[in-house]
Amino acid sequence: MILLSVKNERRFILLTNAILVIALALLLAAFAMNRFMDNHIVANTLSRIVVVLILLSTPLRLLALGHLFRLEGRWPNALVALGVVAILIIGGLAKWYFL
Amino acid sequence: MDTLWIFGGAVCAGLLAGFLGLGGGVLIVPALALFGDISMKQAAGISLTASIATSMASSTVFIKKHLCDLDLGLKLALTATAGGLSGGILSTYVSNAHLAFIFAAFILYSGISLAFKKDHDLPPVETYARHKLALFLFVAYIAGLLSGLLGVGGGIIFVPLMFLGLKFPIQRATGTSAFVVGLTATGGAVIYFLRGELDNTLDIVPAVVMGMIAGGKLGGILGVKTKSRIVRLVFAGLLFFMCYRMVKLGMAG
Repeated sequence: MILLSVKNERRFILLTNAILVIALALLLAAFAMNRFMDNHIVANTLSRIVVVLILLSTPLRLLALGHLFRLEGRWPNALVALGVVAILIIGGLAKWYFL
Repeated sequence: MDTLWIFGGAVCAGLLAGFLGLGGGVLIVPALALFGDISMKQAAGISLTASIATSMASSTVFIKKHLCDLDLGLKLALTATAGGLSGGILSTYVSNAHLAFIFAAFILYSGISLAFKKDHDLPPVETYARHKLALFLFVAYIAGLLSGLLGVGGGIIFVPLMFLGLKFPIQRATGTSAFVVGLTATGGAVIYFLRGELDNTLDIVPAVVMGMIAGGKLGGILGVKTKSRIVRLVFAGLLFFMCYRMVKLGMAG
């Protein structure tokens, strides 16, 4: 099992938690707009922003992870992280084309 | 259906998902389709998006406790995503009935093994042989292929594979799976989003995602604190339930 150093592990967790906190804040705002103010247009826009943020979080976290592995001198792991991002993009395009 | 009920249901689904290292689609898709007045496709789109957030919430807990193998997780995600892509394309040509029976047999065997096998010890520095890793990556590809063909999440396949194939202790298997399912769900979630399946459900999305993030975090904390025997038994119970669903799917043709 290959672990990141404590410092880099903390960085990765911090990034993940930061994305989650932003998503939660936007979701709470959307929930409140929908339920208490009946402002569905703003609520739906906020929900859409959160969905995009969550979808973008995966490549963002993978790139960060690849960078952290590279910082520790582990190029193959950094390349695997980049490979996952590439397959996600190719996969998305291929599914779009075939299905 | 009232959004507070949906939020409550999502917390429960996220709790179990975070606890067992799953995405949560097994629970949230049928619940949303039954009680949320939305189509199965819309439910699947919401579930995939929410499972990325659940994975983020629960995996941080496992990473902190050194119960998530990021290195193996990345490699697994690479081959499983490729497998999922092949499965998605193949699904338009292959009949699912026979595959459902084969998959049911696999998860029945996994369930029995998880229920009755002793948990593996955790060595201080774990290594796995190169040839075993190659075999495992191939199996992960097949797992991704099956999940793409049958529309089941990766977690229900990855955890037994890591426990039985790589002799991972159950909590490290669930921890690593919690990380992987978020990556593998992204491809599918993007497609649902681009196809506009989520457009009419944006009023439900906040309740589901918030619920699953909260549940996922709690589930992750519970997962690292609970005795491994209990984790194994709960997982085995879920596998038996899934086996029943797969047999029903197979019989329906």
